[in-house]
Amino acid sequence: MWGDRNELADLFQRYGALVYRRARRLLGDTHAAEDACQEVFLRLWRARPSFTETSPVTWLYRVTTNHCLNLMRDGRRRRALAAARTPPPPHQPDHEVARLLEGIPEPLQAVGVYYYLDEMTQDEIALVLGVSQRTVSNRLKEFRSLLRADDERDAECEEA
Amino acid sequence: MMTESLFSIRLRQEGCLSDFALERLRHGELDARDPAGTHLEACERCRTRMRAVQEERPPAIALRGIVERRPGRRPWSGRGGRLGALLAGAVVMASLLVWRAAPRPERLKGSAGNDLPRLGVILGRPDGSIERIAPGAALRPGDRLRFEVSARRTGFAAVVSFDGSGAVTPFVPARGPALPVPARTRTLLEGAVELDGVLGPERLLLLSCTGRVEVAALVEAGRAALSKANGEPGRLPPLGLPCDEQTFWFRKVPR
Repeated sequence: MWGDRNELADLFQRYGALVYRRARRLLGDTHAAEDACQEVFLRLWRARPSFTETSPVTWLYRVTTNHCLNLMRDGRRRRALAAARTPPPPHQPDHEVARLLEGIPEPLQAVGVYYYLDEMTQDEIALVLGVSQRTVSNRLKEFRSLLRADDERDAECEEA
Repeated sequence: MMTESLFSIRLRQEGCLSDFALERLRHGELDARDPAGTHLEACERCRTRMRAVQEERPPAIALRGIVERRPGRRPWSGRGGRLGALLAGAVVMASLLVWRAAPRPERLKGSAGNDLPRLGVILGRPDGSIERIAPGAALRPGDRLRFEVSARRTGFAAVVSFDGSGAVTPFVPARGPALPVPARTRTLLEGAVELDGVLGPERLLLLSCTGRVEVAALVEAGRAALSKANGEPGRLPPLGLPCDEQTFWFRKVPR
């Protein structure tokens, strides 16, 4: 599909804003989004010998989303480790998306983000994830029920 | 409740296109006759969003991890980085894909030659050309370097520079622990540097250590050794660390 640096530059010109905007939206931080953008284009470059995706937009959406969700998970792990070793730091509000996804199983996180944050249709999500529309629908139901359970727990805590 | 604000409410007008659909239309992945294309044609709101998407430009970024700023020197990457740096990173990657057998770097101190790690140096010029260089090459300010290590034993590697001004600079990694290098594998070290304007001979020292070591400790040992050598990199004694050392010289000439 592409083979030299000029073509990669073209790809960056064409898709760089898409990846950046997506990462910034998920991570809520411009610097982190820049880092994510770099990582995604490196992956694109590395994937090129075997790249057979007919829809680069779909590939980039999937890879960017997965990378950002991984970053959020890693961030939570690091904070948990740090908290176990040191006294709790002054409260620092996390990015809202990251906080809300806490405790949600991995396959459901992406579906929730695509559906609610990106407001994609279930067909679009199925295309990006490479699963059936029925699977998307089921995962969404599960995602909602987990959020509801979370909300109920929060409400109980507030009341207590 | 927070959940309500993000994950329970879909704000977009019913039937309007997602950003994903807009991007696919924009990049020709969906035909204008596709229902999304038809909707776009008819919907002023979506057309406005499409214009906003089209006006966005890629971020000015560099590929950190491939491209890394050398401390105290002219930045190649950075927050206000440039697409050129992205390209340079890509160029380096490209060079690795067309790797050719190149002269082996000079081997100096250490034990039996075959056990010594080997240092490969990849040059990226500002014009975009890429080559793997041999010791003694003439380089210029603004040239960029990446490093590759081949080792028989698993260990940790770092590359430190001793230049004509007497500066000892960690090239890769710029800070933190030396980078892990698996045995019997050609490893491209994370990070790159842009050469500054200090001209003259410059000595790169690959330090390959069996244990994890902080690059700051290597630099400190390097400074002490350079001091013993009266600031002359050519007379640098062994650093006295439990690390194999390998030297790679190059000359920096005016651009």
